[in-house]
Amino acid sequence: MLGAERVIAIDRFDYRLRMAEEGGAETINYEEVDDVVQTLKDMTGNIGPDRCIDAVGMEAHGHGVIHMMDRIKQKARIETDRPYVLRQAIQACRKGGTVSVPGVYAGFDDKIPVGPFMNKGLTMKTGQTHMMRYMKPLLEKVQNGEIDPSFVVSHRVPIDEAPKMYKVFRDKQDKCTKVVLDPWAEVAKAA
Amino acid sequence: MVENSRTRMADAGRGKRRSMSRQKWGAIIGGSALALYGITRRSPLGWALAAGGGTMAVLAGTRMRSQEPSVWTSLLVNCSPEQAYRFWRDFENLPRFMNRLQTVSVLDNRRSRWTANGPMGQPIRWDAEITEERENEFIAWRSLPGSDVQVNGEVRFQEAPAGRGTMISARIEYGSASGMSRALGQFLRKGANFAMRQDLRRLEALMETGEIPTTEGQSHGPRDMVTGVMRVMDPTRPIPQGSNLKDVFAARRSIA
Amino acid sequence: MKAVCYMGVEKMSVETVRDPTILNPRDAIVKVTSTCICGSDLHLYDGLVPTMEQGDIMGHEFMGEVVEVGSGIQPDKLKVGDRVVVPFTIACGNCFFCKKELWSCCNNSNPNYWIAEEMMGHSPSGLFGYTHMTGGYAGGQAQYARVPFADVGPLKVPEGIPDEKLVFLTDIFPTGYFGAENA
Repeated sequence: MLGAERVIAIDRFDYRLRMAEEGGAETINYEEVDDVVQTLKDMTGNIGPDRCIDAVGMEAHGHGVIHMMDRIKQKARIETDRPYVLRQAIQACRKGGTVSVPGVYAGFDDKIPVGPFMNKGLTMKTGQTHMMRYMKPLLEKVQNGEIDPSFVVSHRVPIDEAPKMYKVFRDKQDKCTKVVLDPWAEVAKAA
Repeated sequence: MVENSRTRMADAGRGKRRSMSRQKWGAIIGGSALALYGITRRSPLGWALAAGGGTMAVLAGTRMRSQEPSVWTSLLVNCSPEQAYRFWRDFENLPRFMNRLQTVSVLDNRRSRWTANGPMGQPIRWDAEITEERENEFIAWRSLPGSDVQVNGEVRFQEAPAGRGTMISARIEYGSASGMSRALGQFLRKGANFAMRQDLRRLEALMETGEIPTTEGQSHGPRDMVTGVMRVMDPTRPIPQGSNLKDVFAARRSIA
Repeated sequence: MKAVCYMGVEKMSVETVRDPTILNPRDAIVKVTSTCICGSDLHLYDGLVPTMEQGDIMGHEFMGEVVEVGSGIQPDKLKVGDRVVVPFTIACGNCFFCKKELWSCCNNSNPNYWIAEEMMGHSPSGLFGYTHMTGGYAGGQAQYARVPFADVGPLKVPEGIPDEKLVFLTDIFPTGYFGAENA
């Protein structure tokens, strides 16, 4: 929609990577490669991606000592977030590029690579979405058939099953991508 | 005028607070040192010195919070200075955004009668008069002799640069006299700067949106016992997850 | 009405709660026809975001039909019977930030401004169903929801398009677009 020539999607669940491929993306399963940053450089002629998007936020998964320390600190409530993907995005982004952070963070995070951020001349753009700017234009795109967002729905359940679905969604069981709840389903069944 | 206001903005909250803090810390450290010295003397004079020093340190420590001096608080509001001045000048509007006030009745062009929430739900009353005003710029008022408590208030309205609206700056000082007035003054002084910031925020919401955002009275599921009790005591104050009872009761910070 | 309530870390439960009512003149009550679980709700489920309380109603992605409007809503902006998608951020429309279209930074929609201010220096806008730091608003994973500043946020949508194509306009579709546009 916004004119990107190539999009590389990174995740650890195959079913999600397949969904991204159906949308035209190239994919990396970060559990199958040694170093995501090096893999990205290999895929882009050693330049690195022009733009990196951290769509994960505070509960990123990863490998290595730093990630283990993040998990421990988060459990002990010394740190609120696990900014693993943010660090990776800063490391991977090409010099002079932009890091976009729509992923939600809650508090103060340790070991953010400010040095690389500064020395590579990066820009960061972030924030909670300014919804009222986008809703009407995106509604028009849905109305004229440019996009059908319903492809992400994997589960449609009555509201009574919401507590169970939180666990399913959190643990990515049953190829869960998005859960839609119907608050009136049980009532409809009874009637 | 602009230079003066900028200087005043830069001073907001600083200076006086630091020097007061130095005095308090001086009293705590000095009192503790005196107490230690007195204990090592092992004589009646030594015990007297220790008692005096210890008392001084404890009093300074406990009073540090409640004796916070009043500071200027400012807020940028999307309205004209005229609109803000007109709204504030009608003192009967003040309880709409100053939660500590119950009522203000305007008696004549300069005098008004104020009632505020006091300790144990008892009202605190005072009559006030406007001592100085410049239309659309400044209002100053003070309580009259014979009131329950001494109050001095000032508010300024300045057009903000770049067409951003109005900078509203306010300060209310609760003075000390003797006896009951002193106790009531201390009650009002506690958390007064925080209360003023909240009041101005509510004023901004009123001026810009016509209403004050609230979640009081909304639906919710069953609360746990601690939260339930605290909400009955103060519906506007949420409790952090996992707080223990001691912390919850110790951390009184009501949205005044 | 039924609502999904936060009852503790990794404990959500569907409770029967009081129906919402109009609290301010610019409120509206929406009968929720579809609502979603968001990835950010999982941070609350895992107990990683402070200031959640037992009994809070979850959910910030919901759409439905307006069933009641407050006295401060003009009929040309919103009326009973309108089908709407409700954005997860709450904005007043007239503060410094809303005027600059920085809607998620609204100054007037978080009644608990002071909590977020202590943590972050300033507060973002109020959000539905996302801790008391962002206002403690009851969320939309319920049969009805109260929507503040209903003449600013909710977008009227036409009949004839299924909910599943529209409900993501409440959060994830604009968020994904915003993330890509920022990049």
